[in-house]
Amino acid sequence: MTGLAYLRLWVIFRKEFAVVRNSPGVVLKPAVTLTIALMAVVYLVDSDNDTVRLGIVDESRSEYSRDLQSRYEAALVFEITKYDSAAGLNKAIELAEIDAGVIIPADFAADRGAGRPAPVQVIVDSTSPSNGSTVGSYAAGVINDYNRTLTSSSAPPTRRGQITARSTVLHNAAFISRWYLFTGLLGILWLANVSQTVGVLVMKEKEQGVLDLWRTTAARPWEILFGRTLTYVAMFLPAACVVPLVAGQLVYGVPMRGSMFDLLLGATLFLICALSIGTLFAVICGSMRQMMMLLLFTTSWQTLMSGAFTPVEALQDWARPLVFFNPLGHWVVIIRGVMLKGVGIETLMPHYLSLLGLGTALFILSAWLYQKQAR
Amino acid sequence: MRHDVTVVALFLLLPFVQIYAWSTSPSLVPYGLTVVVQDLDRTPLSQLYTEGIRAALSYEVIPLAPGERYEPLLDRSEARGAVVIPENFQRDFYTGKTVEVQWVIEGTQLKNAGKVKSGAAGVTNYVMSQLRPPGGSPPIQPKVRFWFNPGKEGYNYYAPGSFVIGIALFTPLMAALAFSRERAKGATARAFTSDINPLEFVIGKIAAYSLVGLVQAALCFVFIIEVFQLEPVGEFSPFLCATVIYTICNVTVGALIGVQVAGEVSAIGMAKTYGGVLTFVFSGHLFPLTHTPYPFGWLPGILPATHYHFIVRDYFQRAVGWRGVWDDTAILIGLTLVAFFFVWRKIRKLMGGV
Repeated sequence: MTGLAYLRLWVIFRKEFAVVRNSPGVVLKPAVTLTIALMAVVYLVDSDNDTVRLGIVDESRSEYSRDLQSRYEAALVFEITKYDSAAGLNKAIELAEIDAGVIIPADFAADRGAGRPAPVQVIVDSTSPSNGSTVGSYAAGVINDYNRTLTSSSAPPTRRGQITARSTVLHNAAFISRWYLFTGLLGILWLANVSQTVGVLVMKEKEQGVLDLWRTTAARPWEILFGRTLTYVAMFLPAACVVPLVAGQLVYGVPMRGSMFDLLLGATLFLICALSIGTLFAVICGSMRQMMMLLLFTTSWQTLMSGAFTPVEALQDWARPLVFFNPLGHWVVIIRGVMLKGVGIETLMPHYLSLLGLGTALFILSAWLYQKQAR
Repeated sequence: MRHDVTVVALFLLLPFVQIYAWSTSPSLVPYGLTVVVQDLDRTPLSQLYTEGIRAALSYEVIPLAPGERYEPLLDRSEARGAVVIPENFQRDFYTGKTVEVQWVIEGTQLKNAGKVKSGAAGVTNYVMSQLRPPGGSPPIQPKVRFWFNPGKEGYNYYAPGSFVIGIALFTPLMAALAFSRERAKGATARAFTSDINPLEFVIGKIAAYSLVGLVQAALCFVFIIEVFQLEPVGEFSPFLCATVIYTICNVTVGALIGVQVAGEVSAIGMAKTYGGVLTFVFSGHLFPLTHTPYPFGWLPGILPATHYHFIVRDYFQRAVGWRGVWDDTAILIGLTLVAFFFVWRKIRKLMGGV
């Protein structure tokens, strides 16, 4: 690159900074919106606040059935309502007033007393299949645990021992959902806000004819885009990255176990991808409305196929390879790796390289299309 | 609207792609979770345990030789969990001791971590049941029945849910853009010079966009029925009524955003927040309603999609009918009227009224 090109880049860089200085809202508004939305949504979607509304019908009314009921009452996850009859419980499930019901039959005490297997009916609302599975396993789990207590206390002496599983959860031992939500949502909001901000800027330039003015200068289209990308990375990094990270740490105690440098490097690469996506859509779309619709559509698509909320392992086979081409998917691995696991670039190198590759490809594509339009 | 044919095409086309992607790409539960198994015992019993892990269909087992470390695999997210079967596992078990299998779980992706954690108990129970002496059935037998979706088919849940979200995502966006652009160009104020009164103006515009929204909703409905072979089980009349009201409600919310928020870009941003964040996250499709903590438990209740979700689920799964959904329909009407009132008030102001 010649000295002249450096000079041009510097001029473009200064021009972009001047634009932001004259209207700081361009960067500050999305950054503030993003931080507020992030903190609010993380607070409001609190899956630690998980309760199962359980209905119980005790037709047995015996010591045995009361003992079983007490097991459900002891498990804090259940919010218990008692019904007089199975019909009442069924109606409550139909009207979605409860998530599951347990019916202890009239002959429960007789079966238990005689040492016969005593059936207990568990009805689960599986309108939502995943919730249904979880609720079903909670409700049946209490009975299974109770069975273990009963068999270990009444079993005859045997030469066989017991096998137990000792589970150790690394990096988020208490299953704090807010750490998980925070690290997933940050990237989604970046993608939505940053791409939109830059897309709107480029689209306005197109609509106002600024793009035509660039043709009269010596600056090449890629230099204009490069200068703009650098400016916005420099602006967004402290405003939209460091601020929410600090807020997340202070308010929700999201840990920062790795190096801040590693995280900011990943953030820079991801921001380049997000900025290039915004530019690309602004270039290919004919109007602001078209661009906004496409951005909305692709952001939700990228969210689904990133592993931020829906694990990659919960995607169908056809959708899994798409995660590789999704910058958000790599960013989610990086942010969770650095913040929660405390690992660095050496461990997460494939994801940094993928972000670099995707960012470069998106930048070249948008610059090429931009150049074509500028001609 | 007809001036920008591409936008109309996108408005009609994108919801199909959206609904298809949201309905088909997620499976019911994570599967193919990679678990590293380090067997330090290498006996028939430890192999039985490893087979138990393989038999649980959710896992893909990577054997790890003794002396190798599993931590790097967890750090790189190449494995979601590691199972270590200790030395003397079989010998201790047959001498009557309690033997412990260690499950180390990568906890950054909570849904996977929860699945592996419950799998640890499930696999252990399964292996113990294989070793139980004959005739030793448990004293209490839970007979679990899943209602409304006994096969726990993902399409039955995801396709109607995506239909609800799709309407809330695109319909308000179109209305917000239209109202916002008219306001910016002064077309709303110009209407003052004609003999149209604010009420007629608002009703006319909302009716036009509702009609387009209803065409889109009808096409999406046919799409999910045909593509996913869904068989509705409930009454059609509550569903039909609610679909009309829900579409009008979303157009009215879009109109409210368009007239209240200055600037086209801000209006679009607000419509995105309504459809893409509030409705998507808080209406009960992505997370259960109970996840919204005190004192904000009311938030899902003021979102039209929360109530429409319930009505759609009734049509496709529950089949309770008017008896179960009349209150949700009434709330939808109420929310529409409230949004309409604020649109009318603002338009009246813009047109120079009091």
